[in-house]
Amino acid sequence: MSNTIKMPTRRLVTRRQALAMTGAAAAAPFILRAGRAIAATELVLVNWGGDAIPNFDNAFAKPFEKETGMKVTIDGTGPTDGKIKAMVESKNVTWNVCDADGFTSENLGSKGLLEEIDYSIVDRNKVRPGHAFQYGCCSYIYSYVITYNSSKLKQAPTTLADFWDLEKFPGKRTFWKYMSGALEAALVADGVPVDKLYPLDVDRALKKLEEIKDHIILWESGADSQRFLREGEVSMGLIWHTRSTLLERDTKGEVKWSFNQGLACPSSWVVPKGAKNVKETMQFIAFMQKPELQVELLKSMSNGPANPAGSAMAPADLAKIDPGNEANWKIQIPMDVQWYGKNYNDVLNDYLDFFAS
Amino acid sequence: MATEVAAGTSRRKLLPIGNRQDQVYWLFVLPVLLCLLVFFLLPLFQVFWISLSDPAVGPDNYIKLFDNRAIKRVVLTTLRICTITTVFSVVIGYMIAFTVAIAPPRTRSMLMFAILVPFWMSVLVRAFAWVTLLRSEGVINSFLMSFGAISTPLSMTNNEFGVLVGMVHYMVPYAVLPLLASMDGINPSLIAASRGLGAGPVQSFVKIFMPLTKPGIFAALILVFIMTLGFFVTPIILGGGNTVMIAEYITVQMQQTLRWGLASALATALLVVVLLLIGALSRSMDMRKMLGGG
Amino acid sequence: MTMHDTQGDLCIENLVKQYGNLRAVDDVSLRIRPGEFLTLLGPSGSGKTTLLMMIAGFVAADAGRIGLGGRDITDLAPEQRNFGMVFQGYALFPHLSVRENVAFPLKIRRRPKSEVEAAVKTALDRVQMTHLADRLPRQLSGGQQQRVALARAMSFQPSLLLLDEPLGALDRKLRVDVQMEIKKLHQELGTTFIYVTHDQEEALSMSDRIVIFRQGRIAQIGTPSELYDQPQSRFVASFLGESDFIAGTVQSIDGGIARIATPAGEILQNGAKHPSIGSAITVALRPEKIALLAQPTADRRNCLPGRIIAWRYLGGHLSFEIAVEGIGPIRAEIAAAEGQPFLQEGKRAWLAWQPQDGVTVTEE
Repeated sequence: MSNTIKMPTRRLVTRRQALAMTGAAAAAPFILRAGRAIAATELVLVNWGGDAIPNFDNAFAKPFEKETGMKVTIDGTGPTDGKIKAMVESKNVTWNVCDADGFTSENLGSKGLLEEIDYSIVDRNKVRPGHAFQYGCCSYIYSYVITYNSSKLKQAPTTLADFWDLEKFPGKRTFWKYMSGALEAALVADGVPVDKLYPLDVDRALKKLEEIKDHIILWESGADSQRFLREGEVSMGLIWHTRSTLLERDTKGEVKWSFNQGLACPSSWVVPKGAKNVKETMQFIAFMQKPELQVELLKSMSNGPANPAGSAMAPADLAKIDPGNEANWKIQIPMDVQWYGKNYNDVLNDYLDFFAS
Repeated sequence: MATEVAAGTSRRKLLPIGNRQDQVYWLFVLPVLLCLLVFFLLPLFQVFWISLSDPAVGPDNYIKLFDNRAIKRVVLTTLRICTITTVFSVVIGYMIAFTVAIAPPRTRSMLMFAILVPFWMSVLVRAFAWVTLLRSEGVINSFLMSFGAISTPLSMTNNEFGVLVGMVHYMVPYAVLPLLASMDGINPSLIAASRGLGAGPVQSFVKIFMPLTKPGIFAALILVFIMTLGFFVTPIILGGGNTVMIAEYITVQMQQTLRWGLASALATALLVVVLLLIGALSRSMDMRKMLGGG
Repeated sequence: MTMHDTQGDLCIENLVKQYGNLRAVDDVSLRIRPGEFLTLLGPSGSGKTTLLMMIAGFVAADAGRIGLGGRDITDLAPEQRNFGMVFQGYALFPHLSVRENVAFPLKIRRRPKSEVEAAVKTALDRVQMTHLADRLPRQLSGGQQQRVALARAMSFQPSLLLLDEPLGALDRKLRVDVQMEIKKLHQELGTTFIYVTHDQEEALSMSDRIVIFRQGRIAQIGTPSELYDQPQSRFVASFLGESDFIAGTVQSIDGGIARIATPAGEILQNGAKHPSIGSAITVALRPEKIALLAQPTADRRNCLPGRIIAWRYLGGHLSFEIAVEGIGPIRAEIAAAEGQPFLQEGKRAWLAWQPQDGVTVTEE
């Protein structure tokens, strides 16, 4: 604890100390809380808020406490890369495990901002091949799927190339503001074979996007994507399958979607560098690999089990909405987490600039 | 006797320096100054430091501000949107302020209430209210299409137009207040004098009323411009990703792409511009008066 | 009603302005001759300013009409009336220099540039403000601002100048100077001046005629001396200068002289018209008309007994307050030398005055 506040006098205040100082007042309660944790280990799981708070609590936190006596608090702050970096550099890490994108683990991990996953505790075999990252372990599968408003379109778009067919599929389209899916869609529409997408040819993708740029609006939050489709602001979009599921249910089938050519992405549990109770945190991550818990989350949130065993045991009605389900997995495009991890920061700026111009 | 008198006079004349009253004064101010230092100036200094040290020590981030194509675009977009917003807000604000200024007392308090209500409404709520009105199947398009005024919906949101509408709506009350303050300061008999000396209502407005509200117009222009520079929520909700302003760009660099140095440099530059504008503003007028205070 | 006004007369006929339950101007008729200096005088709220604003065109009439030289201007906008106006507090345009202020009415009338310059110079010369032509109003003293306001109001040679308490903001000494200047200006210009004030001295010293207002109505119109010497009502007698009032009953009338019984004794009163015998009558008396006597007089003068209550020394004269039984305190102004014997509280004294010095007034 003492090194949080300690101020070396022999050199100028570095950014980290500076941040620590700003955070000092705000951090005071956390220091106290951490102090209590010595008596009874308490973990903090940070996700993106909303329904995910009670759902994660029910699926993971409560069973874990029941089994181990360790309490897990769900914090819905939203662990953006910037917030994780700020926390790590302030040297006052109060978060244990964050719900992050798969490629975030590569991106932040390579910058020394994350703890390595201890695969002596976490089981590599309980995730799909390639989903056990060095600085993160797959938490669930989600997918950017082709979703459309059937009242706006006479026929169903089935491929990513259909986004470029303005005659057959009139109306605006929506892609994610933070890039995932849009570049892949452009390259597929431009004729790149699905298995040769990565490394993404960004220039080619942006050039292809230029063709329909005036018809694209970007969704910022999941709620935006739902709103755009529900209100007919767009006729089709590439949005999270979790939201598509909700939309289909809420509009009584007016909004339709399918996994075909969806971009299947692993989310990951990441642990900020300098987190307390790393061992217990790893135990908690391992605990969350239990297939039956992951099916719970599939049921409540449509989050696809990271553990193939979870997908295998899901009942038929849930299997339909599980991106990890064998039949669904086959028709989707798997995201190259390594490529995103290396290129995300640069390419995102180009992508945003492209739309802002 | 003489010295006593002298001491008494000097105490009355000068600020009380060095006496007990003075110490008490500083005692009260000190906590505020400390808070300001710790929670405001220090972080500000850190931001400045980050801009010079991340990723490497040096002025690179500031150089980038000038030769990065994307930043140039964001800055130009921001300046364009802020300028248009400012002009429209002040023009509309002027009309509203004028209506209020000449309204009888009861109408005036009703109008003032209507002007101030939006202050209590979150910017998020207001932006979404505009989405409801402007979107392609929204209130305005549905209305226009219902009697065939248009056949395809007008594109009024998820573009710069939507952003401008939302921002102007947000900023109009801020324009009204300094304008109204300057209008209220005009002696009504000046207008009567103008009429009495032969100027018609329009001439009196153009030659007398308008010139007398110049300080208010100037204040409103700068105040609105400064505030619009930092707009974040409205462009995101009404811009649909096609309108990126400085604040959003800074946020993306902070949260998504981790270019803190660049973000801090941009934030510092923005702060300098705002401080310069405030300097221009305070030099030309009494700020408290402008904001309707004492 | 038709307009019978001669050339140039400003003719006000049965003008009414109502604010809620209050009749600010109540059926006022008035004729103002060209070149006249007419003062509207009255206490605040008496309707004088409202009437001026109606003449200027800022306040619309509820009834009645205003005519100028045979033309009906009742509904004309202020800027179409072509009157000059000096406002209370001057209303100089703060963003314009002295020169621009004075040029304003000329530029509005689109006079040629050379004419504007000449007219501005003439107007500023007239008020001796040429040397300050480039100053802004806030850089001028009150008296200077006042002069600029005058210059501005007359620069375009209006046929009528309206002045709304123009001296109200000046201190007393300066006020007397400016009064003289305005008076002189009036004589030089030959323009009709309509002047509003609540200051009776100002009205008396400057006006050709004074209109005294009371509660929206005209109480009396006349030259200053007519109003001072022949007030028709108790209100006018007390508003314009000081007056003592003695009430009584008419006993008899003989050759224009009324014999009046008062509680303090009998008095005589000259007059062309008297109320009928037996009715009540009020006589107004200026304090300076009263003499103090140690003994009752045997001459024709009226004589009532009283006791000295108080006095004030006012330089050239003494102002006494004297209790007269059944009538109340009476004020008398006596030359300082003649008052010396009476400087004793409670001292008995006789008040004496000529029957022609009193004025019969109505009780209004």
